[in-house]
Amino acid sequence: MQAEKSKKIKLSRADKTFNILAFSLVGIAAIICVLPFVLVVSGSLTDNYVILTEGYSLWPKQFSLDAYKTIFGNPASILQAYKMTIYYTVVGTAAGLFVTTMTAYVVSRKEFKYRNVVTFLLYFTTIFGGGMIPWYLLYANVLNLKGTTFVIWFPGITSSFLVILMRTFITGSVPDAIAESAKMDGAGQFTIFTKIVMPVLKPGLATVGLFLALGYWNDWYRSSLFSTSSDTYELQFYLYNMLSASTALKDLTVGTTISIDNLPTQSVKMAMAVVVTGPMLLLYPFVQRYFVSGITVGAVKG
Amino acid sequence: MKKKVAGVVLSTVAMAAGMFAGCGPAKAAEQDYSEQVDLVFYLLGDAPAGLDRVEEEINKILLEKVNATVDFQFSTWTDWTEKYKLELTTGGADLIYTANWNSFGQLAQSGAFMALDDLLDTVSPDFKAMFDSAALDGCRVNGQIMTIPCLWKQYTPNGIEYRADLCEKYDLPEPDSIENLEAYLKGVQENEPGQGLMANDIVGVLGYKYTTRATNSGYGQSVDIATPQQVDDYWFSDDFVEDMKLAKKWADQGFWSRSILSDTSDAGEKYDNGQCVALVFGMNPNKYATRVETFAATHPDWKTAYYTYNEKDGYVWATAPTADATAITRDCKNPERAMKVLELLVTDKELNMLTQYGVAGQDYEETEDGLYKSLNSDFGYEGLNAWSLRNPEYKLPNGEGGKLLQEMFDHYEEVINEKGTPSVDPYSGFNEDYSAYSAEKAAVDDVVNEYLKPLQAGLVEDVDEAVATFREKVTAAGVDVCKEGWAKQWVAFCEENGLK
Repeated sequence: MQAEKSKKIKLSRADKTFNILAFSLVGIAAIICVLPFVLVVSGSLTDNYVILTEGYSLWPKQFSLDAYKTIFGNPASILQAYKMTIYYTVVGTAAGLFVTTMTAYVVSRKEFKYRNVVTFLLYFTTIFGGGMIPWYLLYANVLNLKGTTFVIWFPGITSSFLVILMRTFITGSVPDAIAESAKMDGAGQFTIFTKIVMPVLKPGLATVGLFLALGYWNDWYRSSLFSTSSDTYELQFYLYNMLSASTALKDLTVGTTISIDNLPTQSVKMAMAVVVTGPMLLLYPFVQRYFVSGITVGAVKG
Repeated sequence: MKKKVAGVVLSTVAMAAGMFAGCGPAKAAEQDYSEQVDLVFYLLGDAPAGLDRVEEEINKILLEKVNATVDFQFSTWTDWTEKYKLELTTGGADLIYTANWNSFGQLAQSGAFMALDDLLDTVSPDFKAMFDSAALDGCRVNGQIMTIPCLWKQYTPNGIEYRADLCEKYDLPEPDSIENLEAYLKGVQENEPGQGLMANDIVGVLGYKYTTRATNSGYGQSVDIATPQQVDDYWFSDDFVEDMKLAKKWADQGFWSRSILSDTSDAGEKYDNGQCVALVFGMNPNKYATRVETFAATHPDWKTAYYTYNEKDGYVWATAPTADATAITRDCKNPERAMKVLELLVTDKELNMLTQYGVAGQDYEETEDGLYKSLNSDFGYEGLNAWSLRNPEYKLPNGEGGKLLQEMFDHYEEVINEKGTPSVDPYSGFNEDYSAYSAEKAAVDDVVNEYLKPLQAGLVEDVDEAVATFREKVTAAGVDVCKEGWAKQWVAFCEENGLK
């Protein structure tokens, strides 16, 4: 009893005010973030006619699973898109982590002769880029990769930002002396990298991995440009394209005579959003712990 | 140098061929099919699930006939305008779908497509003979045919869709004029308080009033069909004030919602759900015919009807030939074969049916009444979105709605023949080039959004005052520069096409 009491540290009035203010501000911010999502979930479970006539509500006024039935009514194509996105995310993230970490390690080593040149080249691309058309031409016309699955995940495997983030992280957590001593003990660069650097990089790997995974999960643009068949569509593109089709066809039918198929309703659009965000919501809590420390470590020491 | 000379000789020969073609029945030059050619046909929209299957059938026939294959590629509907231009820039396609609503004019001006006059004469003279010369002329850019129009004539005259069952129920007049529309809306309002009436503002309604207008510029200019070279200044006319007063009157009577300007929901969807009883803007016979079928399924007691604004004057001309057409791209390496393949895809019954409906017996069947019936969702109606290949001779109407649509089209054709009005919109080839005054145009567009839209929605206190403010602002934004630029181009276009 007594022990419990002594544990309680008395808060000063200023602290109390601060806490009240902080909690209410963060609380409001949280509500602002959560409410739209609740509306989306509720909308996806509401009968479409009710949405059109009475608008959205926080709780479905008339419960209906029609939207999900529509989406999963033809499950083959959506499951294919799911499968492809998981494939791109896993392969892309794994390859990306490998490439990013290796590059970052190399440019972090002081004994690397061209370190400054390579670092400059990395920085340079963050300021100047070739632009979309040369980029597209390279993949589509020069390398002839249009329609492959490789071209969907390959362009996203790393970015200068991630390499620089990782390099800062390595210089921060692996002092030169440690690498030096390992070298004296006869370790090669690859051994140093795998045995000494990698084990302390967990938060960094989680951070970069989450960035990469999120990037792959949310990407639709590469499918939009390079996919020639719905078999290689990313999930985001598959769903986004359904919406695009309904907008485009509504605009087009004014001045032409073209047939329109069934267009997605409001509740179907909401259900799509739920279907896409679901898995990422589940992934977040698991990597969040590392994510926070990874970001702060990278930032403070940088 | 050698190449140049060869080019000159070639084009002279082609010109000569063209001249002969004009004189008598032309004969296609002998083509060499010994080498297989693989072509890419770029189309808008999404690929059907059954694409590979149908493509294979098409290529079987094409290989046999002209030793060529076609790979149909699709833009998807995501960013389709950008990707379409990208495709032309990077030169992947041989044949490509073109449309005036997809910058055909500008793209043709910038040399994205091949001139087809010579090809038509040397490779496909019989195909050329199937078109109205007016339709082909409508596809000319700088005097040359740049794209091949669709053989199927379509009509998209604007009109109003309204609920005929309500007219009957409450004994209201058919809305065939502004007065009768007002009476119809008032009648519904009195009999069914709380019922939504319109989901558009006054702009569509003015379709009743200006039935003889050839065009409007984005700067408030209008042109009457009778005097195409005389450009009137609508925004600064008394008619404009009168129309805006009508908007205010109707808004005050509650014909549309006070929040109409911020409402982004689709008017057609509201009509489908009974939240409004008249659609006055952006309607056409195709939308109406589709809805007749929808209503039959969802609300059999509702009856939708269509009134075409321009019909009484006979100006219900067919949609522009460039609205639905196929071009050969500048980068095509085998234009002769591409032309031949295009001809076959349109004129060969088996190929044409494959491009439009898929495999007979597997994807579709023809009903006893000669209508289309889908058998497989893998490949739907006009499944390749190859709208420009539609051939009226082989076309199967899409169910009852399609049949109704064809009946309306036939009716419009009769109206045109009766009144002797032109069958093809002579003004559709006009493309404004505003690069010289794009800054002023942007400023004018802003003023339109801020000051004109509320006027058209009748949301202002005092119409005269709001009109004065709008005129003042739009003048300050530089509307005169735009007007002058537009009028100059328009008159030049009329001169060039002999429109007086």
